[in-house]
Amino acid sequence: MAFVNFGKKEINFKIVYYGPPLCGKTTNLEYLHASMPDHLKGQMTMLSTREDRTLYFDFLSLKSDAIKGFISRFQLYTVPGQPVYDQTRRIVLTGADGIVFVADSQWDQMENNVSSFKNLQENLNTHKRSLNDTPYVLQFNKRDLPNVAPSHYMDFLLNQGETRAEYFDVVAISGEGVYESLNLICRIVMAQFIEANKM
Amino acid sequence: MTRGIVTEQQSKALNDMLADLEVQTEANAVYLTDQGGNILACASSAGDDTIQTVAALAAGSFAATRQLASMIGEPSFTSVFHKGERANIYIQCLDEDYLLLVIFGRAATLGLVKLYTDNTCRELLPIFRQMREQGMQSGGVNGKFEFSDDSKAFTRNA
Repeated sequence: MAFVNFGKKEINFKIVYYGPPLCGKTTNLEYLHASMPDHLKGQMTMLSTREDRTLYFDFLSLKSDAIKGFISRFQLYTVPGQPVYDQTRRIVLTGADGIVFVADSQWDQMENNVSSFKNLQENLNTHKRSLNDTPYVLQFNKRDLPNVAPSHYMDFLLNQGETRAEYFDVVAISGEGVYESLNLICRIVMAQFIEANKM
Repeated sequence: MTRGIVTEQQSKALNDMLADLEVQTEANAVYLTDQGGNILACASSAGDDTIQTVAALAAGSFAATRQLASMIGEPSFTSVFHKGERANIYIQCLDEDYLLLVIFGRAATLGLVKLYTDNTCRELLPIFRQMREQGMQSGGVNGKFEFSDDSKAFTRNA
């Protein structure tokens, strides 16, 4: 949940990238880190195994002046996708202001996408939250590969909640759709914050 | 929803307390964060980038420790100590929601750091109480926020 420090004129927001194993969560952060102007980004921290699989989380802090008179600081986290790290995913989800769900577009990954999406809902429930009260967007990643499911099919498969989320066709490795989805989730999260703190 | 609010006055008081603790313990740096790694105050000469990352990692490390505690039937661990060759980190959990980190070298001992940290913790409690009350007021911070003209939060390097 947003954290406001009037002394530093800063508002902190937490965005979590969630999704099945090897869907491209870390690649999203790597692309952002590589392409973001230096004065807006911090160093990227990855807590990985020797095989470069996320063990705990990846972390990237970004600054924006999107709210007048304040620095909006977006703390981006990824969760480890492997089923065995469920406890870790729950920890990383704590206090999330917004979620980017990264789905793998390859046909043979549909079951993993659905299972990870269900796991996200279950883990939000452990924090007494749900996707109805947590802003999120969907990324259909790896659109450059040959064996991908149509976007409208993935939308049908994953976007059946009470509030339908925006989805983006993404190629995280080349950056297609990465900024678009980040900007939208940041915008929704900030709008919600501004609305909640209106006089 | 807003998780926490620090007013300008509280920010100054917190920074002063941390600066005192830094001197008393001869620490390299002192941070006060919430359990999510948000920085309330800090006394450190490190760059902003390093401060953010240290806070996020410490909060993550403490969260993992909390899970470990529950696995062995403890409600929680209240402190963690990482010992290094030249630098050490002592993390103390405060009032359930906050973490006080002291990074210190060979100049101080763990006992001394614990002693002064405990004193600072007691001084911090009334401020935490105030912050909690602020957070419980509906909305918390009234009507002071609006979007700047640029609708995009982030754009790529040209």
